[in-house]
Amino acid sequence: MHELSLSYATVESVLESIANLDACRVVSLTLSAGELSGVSIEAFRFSFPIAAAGTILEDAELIINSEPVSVFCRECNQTSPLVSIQSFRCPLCGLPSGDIRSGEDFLIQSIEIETAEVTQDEHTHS
Amino acid sequence: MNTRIVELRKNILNKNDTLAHQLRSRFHAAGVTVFNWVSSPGTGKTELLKKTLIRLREMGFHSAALVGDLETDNDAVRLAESGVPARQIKTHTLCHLEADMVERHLEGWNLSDFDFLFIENIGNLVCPAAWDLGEDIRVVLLSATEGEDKPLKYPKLFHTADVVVLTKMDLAEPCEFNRHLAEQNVFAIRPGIPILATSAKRGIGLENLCTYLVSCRREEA
Repeated sequence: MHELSLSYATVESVLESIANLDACRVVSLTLSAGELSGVSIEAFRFSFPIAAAGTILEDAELIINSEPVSVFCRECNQTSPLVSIQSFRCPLCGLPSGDIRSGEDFLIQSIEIETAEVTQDEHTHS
Repeated sequence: MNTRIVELRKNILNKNDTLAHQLRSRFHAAGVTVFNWVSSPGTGKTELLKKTLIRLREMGFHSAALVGDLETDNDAVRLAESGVPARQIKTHTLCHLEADMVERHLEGWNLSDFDFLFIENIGNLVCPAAWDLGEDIRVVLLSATEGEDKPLKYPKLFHTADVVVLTKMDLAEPCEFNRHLAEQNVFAIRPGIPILATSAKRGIGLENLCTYLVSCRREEA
């Protein structure tokens, strides 16, 4: 149950990233949760509103995509998704591989923000 | 009103990871090798660590220890019995240690006085997996009393291990612990990782463990 810590970290990270963008509200937040990230999506959804309360993320819609674990196999020279995270083997040739290429991280992919004023083409920050 | 999408691709643990990287550089500069010991509660981390600290001291190495628990400083007291400086990190409600807690508890220590720093994490096979503490080596412990399938049940944590230490091996027989099966399960998650068998009570495997730990030592800075 470290999802509350992650929720606070998410809110903090988003606020930091959009500090200069004149956002008055975050409409939606798209996250990517790797299967090995150790994040329970359900617990995160439960704790996020607590962390977001009183901020411009308060009413943001949470879109959380689950990302499968992929490993690189030296024999096949290819990255493929694991069949099960209980067996770190190349799904093509069956050889053991612990060389993970995706599925470990919990990322903020993008956010949709509402800005107070209608401006012409905005400057791009990221 | 207008809305726009901002692409971020930002890791949520960025703050902890950045701090952990800074700690790692600091440890590196001080020439101290750092181990993060992780396991479920009751694996015997503290007892094995205490024996390890004593043995390393006899071998002429200087160590320090940080130990995390929700409440009490019982474990720091136990570890200090080894004659090595030990500090308790109390997390109260938090289920894992974070890099900033480690940083705060290093205050007043001259890291270059130490060859080794041991961080005993909160007993938990879930949450500590995601939090880098700036360690060089993550030691995951598995006791003979808890069954061979723990690596399959908690693959995320076992996947982050650099070494797996089997503990309470004096109880393997009465508990019908199948060491071969446990090792197979570890290898399923983490192919080729070193596995060391120990019993803190009987002193089994302590030499091997200490030899391994010493082999992880950094070159002098």
